[in-house]
Amino acid sequence: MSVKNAFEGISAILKGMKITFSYLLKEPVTIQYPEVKRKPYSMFRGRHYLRLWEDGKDRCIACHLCEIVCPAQAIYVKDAPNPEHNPISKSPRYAADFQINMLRCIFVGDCEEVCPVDCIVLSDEYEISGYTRDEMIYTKAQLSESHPGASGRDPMLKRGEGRMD
Amino acid sequence: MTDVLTRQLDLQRIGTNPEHGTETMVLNLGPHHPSTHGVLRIVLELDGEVVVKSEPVIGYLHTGIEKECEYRTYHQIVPLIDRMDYLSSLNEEMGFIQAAERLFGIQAPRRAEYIRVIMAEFSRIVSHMVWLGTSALELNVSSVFMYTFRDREMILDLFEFVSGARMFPRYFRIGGVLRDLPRGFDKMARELILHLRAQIKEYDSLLTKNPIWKMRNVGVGVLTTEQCLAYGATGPVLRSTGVAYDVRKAFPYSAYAEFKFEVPTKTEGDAYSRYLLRLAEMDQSLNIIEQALNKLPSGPFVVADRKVWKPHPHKGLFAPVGESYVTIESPRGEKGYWVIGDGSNKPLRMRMRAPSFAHIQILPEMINGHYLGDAVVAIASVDPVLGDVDR
Amino acid sequence: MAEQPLVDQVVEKIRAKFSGAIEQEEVIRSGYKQLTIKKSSLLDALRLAKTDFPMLYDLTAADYLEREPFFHVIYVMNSIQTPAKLFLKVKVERENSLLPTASKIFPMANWFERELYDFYGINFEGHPDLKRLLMPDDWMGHPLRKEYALTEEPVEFKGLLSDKLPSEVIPKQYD
Repeated sequence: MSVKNAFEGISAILKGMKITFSYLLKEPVTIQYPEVKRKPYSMFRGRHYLRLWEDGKDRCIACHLCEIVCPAQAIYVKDAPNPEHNPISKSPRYAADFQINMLRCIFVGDCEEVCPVDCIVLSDEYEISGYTRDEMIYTKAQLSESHPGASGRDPMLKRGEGRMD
Repeated sequence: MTDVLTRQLDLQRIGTNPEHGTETMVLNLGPHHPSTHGVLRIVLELDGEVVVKSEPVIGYLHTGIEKECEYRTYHQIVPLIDRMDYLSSLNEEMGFIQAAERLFGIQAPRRAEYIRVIMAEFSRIVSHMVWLGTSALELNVSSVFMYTFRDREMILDLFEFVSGARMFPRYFRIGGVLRDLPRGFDKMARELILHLRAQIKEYDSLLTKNPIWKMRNVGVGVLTTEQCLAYGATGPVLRSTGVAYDVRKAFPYSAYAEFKFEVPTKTEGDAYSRYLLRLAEMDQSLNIIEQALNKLPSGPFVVADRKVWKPHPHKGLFAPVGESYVTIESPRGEKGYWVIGDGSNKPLRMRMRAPSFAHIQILPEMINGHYLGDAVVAIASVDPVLGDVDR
Repeated sequence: MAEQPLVDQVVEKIRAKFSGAIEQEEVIRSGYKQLTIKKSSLLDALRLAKTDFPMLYDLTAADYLEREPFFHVIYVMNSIQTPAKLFLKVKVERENSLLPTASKIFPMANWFERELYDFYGINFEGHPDLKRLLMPDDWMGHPLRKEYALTEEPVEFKGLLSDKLPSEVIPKQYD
């Protein structure tokens, strides 16, 4: 290796080291998870929620559409006629059982898109974990929100209304 | 896949070298080896440190996606396609969507094609960054790995902003895209381009002239044009031997005909030239994205016919009888999609011709007769993604 | 796709040299010209086309069980200097299917033929090492044949299994 090569090599290494050392003085880009939690963008497709009407009735009308379009078949819906005296939803039928197998779900968001009543929405929650397989199958009680939009997700925004100018 | 024991015995029987009076040794590289870019296994026959014979063994990540696709409607296929070449999902989607749209005879709106180009090019940069980071890591340059993954995360943030998911966006669909670009995309993308331009320069100054990087990469994994043609190698591997063949130029799909960009080539055909090519390609991708952002047409982002992009949930979209074969330029090379419609809502056959598949087959040509340490560099230099190889 | 004079030239050459080799000529929906040729003149056609199309890009098959008892095997060839693609199709009977190997002309065909053997059970005469590639060595059957059923299981939910298999939820139906 000639002197010129040696000089080039050393200067290239020094140049590289300069970049590496310059990061010593810069702010870190990492966040201290789990103390600090990252807030995903509003489009984020995370854990599902079943929204309710303002008066606490189910939005879900047990139409089975989400169950059908799901490419992973992660949803189970069982419909039943709505009781006349104490209606649970605002349609002739209601979902007697609604389960999502989170182990199968691949979060494509087809269920949300196909829902005719904007009931099922994907939230921005990404910490989905459990110790057993059984724990990962979410029931209707787990999925139902206390009030509409409790998950902070607005399905209208998802439909492309927040369009780029 | 071949049975481990018989293969080893087989190689041991053949592999004696009378010249040196030594016996060769069989070494299994992989399938769980950190430097094989996935679950690739290579049975190497070593004479000292020199590879005498090698045979790649694949199939450890075979998931039967081609079979599965025959049982899914056209719209349900897209998330499956995502999971094949998991480093550049959007390029995969692009290929399938182009093939499917040709089959259906649908022309997506120009805005949709522009959005697709922007996203696919970002996806190419993501893929190249993972490649650069991991292949540098294999040569113990761990800082580059940190930098590329940091910048990759920023692009993934952009994917999340637009589509809602980072790795598997499932953003394209037959007839357009899932939703329009959100407000603020333009600003975010332009800032990202500025940042990435600076970062690519930084990688360049970290590695390109570094004597250690050069020693490990120059003249390693050399292929000639003839070998590339014989083994069906495309993409940066073929371009590193001096052939300017890029599907985006040769068979322009989507909106690529409307952009000006160069197809960088090198003539050395070694790992170092492939590294330089990928850096140059990232730069070209940024050029394309910038042009697309400048010229982004207004208008709808899906076709007017609602039945195309949101078909009847119980039925799906019915394909005409016919075949459609489309190839696209994925970050790894020319990726082919063969979709056959039979008049039903599910394809008769889906075939994905993976560039990595051909590139794994060519590996023995690159590593036989060279040092074991160079084999790792050679594997990395063709950028195999095993999800793509095994499908 | 742009017009491809190179493809037409090669088609003419094949037609002139091997009369009756081309059974059918069609343009597929993505705009490429596809020739269906006789099995007996496959290798001759490949050799002839190699001068203009030096790269065999893809070699794959489809099972047309519902319409005819044939596998359709396609050979996709790339021309590098002037971009063009040549599609050659051969029909092979489904039982005891045998094709001559192309791996002597294009080394690339080696693995692609193994893949076809693995997935469809198509035998290639003269192939140096015809064995399974992607499936385990002891696998029974050839998964991409239409009579090979997709293996799937019902999805698990709390206290029950879903009543339909995933692929049955939207059944295959014709317009």
